[in-house]
Amino acid sequence: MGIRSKDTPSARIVSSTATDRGLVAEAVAGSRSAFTALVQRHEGQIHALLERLCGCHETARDLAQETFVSAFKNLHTFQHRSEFFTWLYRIACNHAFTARRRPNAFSSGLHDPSRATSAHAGSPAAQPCEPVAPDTDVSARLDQEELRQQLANALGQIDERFRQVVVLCDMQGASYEEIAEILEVPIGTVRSRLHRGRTSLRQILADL
Amino acid sequence: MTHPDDANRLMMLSDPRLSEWIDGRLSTTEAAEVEQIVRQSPELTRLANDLRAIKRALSQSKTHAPNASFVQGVMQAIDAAVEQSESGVQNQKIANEWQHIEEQRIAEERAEAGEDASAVEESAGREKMLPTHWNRYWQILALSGALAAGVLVSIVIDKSRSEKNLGEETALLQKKQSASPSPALPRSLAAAATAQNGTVHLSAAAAPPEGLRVRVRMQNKNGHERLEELLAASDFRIESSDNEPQQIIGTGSVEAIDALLASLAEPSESLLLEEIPLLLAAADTSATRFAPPSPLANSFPQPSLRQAKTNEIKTNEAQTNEAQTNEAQTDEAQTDKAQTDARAAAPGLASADLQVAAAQSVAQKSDNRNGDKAGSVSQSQAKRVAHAVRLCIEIIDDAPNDDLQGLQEPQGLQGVAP
Repeated sequence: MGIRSKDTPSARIVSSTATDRGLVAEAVAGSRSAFTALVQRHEGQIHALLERLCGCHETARDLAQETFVSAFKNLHTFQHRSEFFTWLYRIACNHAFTARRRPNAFSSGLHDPSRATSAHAGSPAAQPCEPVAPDTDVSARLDQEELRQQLANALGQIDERFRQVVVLCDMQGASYEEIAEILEVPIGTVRSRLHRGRTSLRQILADL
Repeated sequence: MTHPDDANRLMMLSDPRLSEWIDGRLSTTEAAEVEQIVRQSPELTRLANDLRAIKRALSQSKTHAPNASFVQGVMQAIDAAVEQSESGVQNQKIANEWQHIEEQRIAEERAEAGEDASAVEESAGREKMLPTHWNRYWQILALSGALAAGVLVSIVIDKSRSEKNLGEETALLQKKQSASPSPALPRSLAAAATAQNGTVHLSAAAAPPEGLRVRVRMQNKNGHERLEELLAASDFRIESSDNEPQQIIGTGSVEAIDALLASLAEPSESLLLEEIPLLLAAADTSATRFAPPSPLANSFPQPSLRQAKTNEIKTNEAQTNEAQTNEAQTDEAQTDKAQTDARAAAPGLASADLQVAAAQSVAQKSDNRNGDKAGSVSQSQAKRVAHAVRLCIEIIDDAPNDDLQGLQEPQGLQGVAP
């Protein structure tokens, strides 16, 4: 994967063969340009993740900036037990998760948790989904661009924990194992949340 | 009463295996099972189709690319955070908030994990949950403990093995040292020598016809004076001396030769009776190391060596022939006088030259005396020849030459070249 070069004074052309491990070591040693290279390498993925989690470009930009600042402050604690991007994803997910708990939330584009479906969120026991009416064929409707936008909105309505897994799996292309490592949860929890997140999205779209 | 198919259908609606089947993560057996259940139920079929469509639509969603100044903004924010970190107040607030949120999140995760575990137990054919973090940690601790124990055991074993090898090597070395090679001595020295621990003990009484040969190494400038003193104190008659190589050849009685050799063997800083291995001792021209040849040598009192040797010589001569004793006394007196005259005549001569001059003087006087007393001394001469042992003293001069010291100093030449 190549690196987008930026015409910024603080950026420098970094060889694409430099590994994250090497850049992290240089950054820990005090190399500002090495951390800049790390930011350039992962800004796209982090920004996309946060935008999908938050549903807003502006909010995602702010949260992405906070993510990299947190990564810089805690870079000396990174022990290479996982990949650097996994560790970065975890920071980004935590920032997105904590952004909802702040009294002064971000822009209006932030998803309202109160609008999340309560059918399966936090239920003590797994309850079978209600059967969908035969005439509400979601798959057929998703072929339309408009309904895709509705899907993106629906994503903001499901439980935060389900949304994280759905975004990481279906939108970021992460595997179950990577998701388990990022979110620091068992892989069984990943399976459960993913299925419940998808079924929740299906229910929301069916109600539209 | 619930139809078994309905039970499977209801179970599958909330079964995560359906999403795993859609994602292609199930084994062949499980995938076939799920597929069969889905085919049998139109509802499950629609659900599966909807989930696939949702997955496909999500993967095709587009996002905005970050701004061109995003990286610059991040670095500026970092700089600002670094400046704020000096006060520490802002960071502390953020750290406290972060910690609180993190604890809350972990609590929620654990609660949901408990719910998931109970849900898994209720349905059949659920997969085994991975161990929790705590279970993972004890495994790591156990592995670390086993590794540390293995390293410790290997260190102990290696240490004991090295000590064992060292002991074996030490024993082998001691065995070699205790072995005493005893090559055969040549016949010419066999009768005159007894080997003991690599040294040869010579006895003048058993000297071969060609005589004995020793080597004396001068340790310092006093070596020649020491040798001269010992020769003067002994009843050793110098017959000739050479400069190339330096050697003194003379004769003496058995007792005299033994006494002289014992004197040369005594520890001295000025000269050393050189030690040569037995193998070289086989050669006729090599010297051998001497130990005191008889108990008599050890009885010499250390002080007044000259007096003790003189008394012994007098006693031995008096027992055999009174005439030989008188002549020996006369020869000794003449030797002393000749040395004194030689020193007075040529003070610059080396000790060896002084000895040569003295020996020549004595020999000349002795010849004259012998010539005048041809008849009377013939008998004594015969007796003396019968008891005479030939001895060759080879001199190795290692003493540093004081005249050359000046050449070695960086200040320049201060000595006189030899």
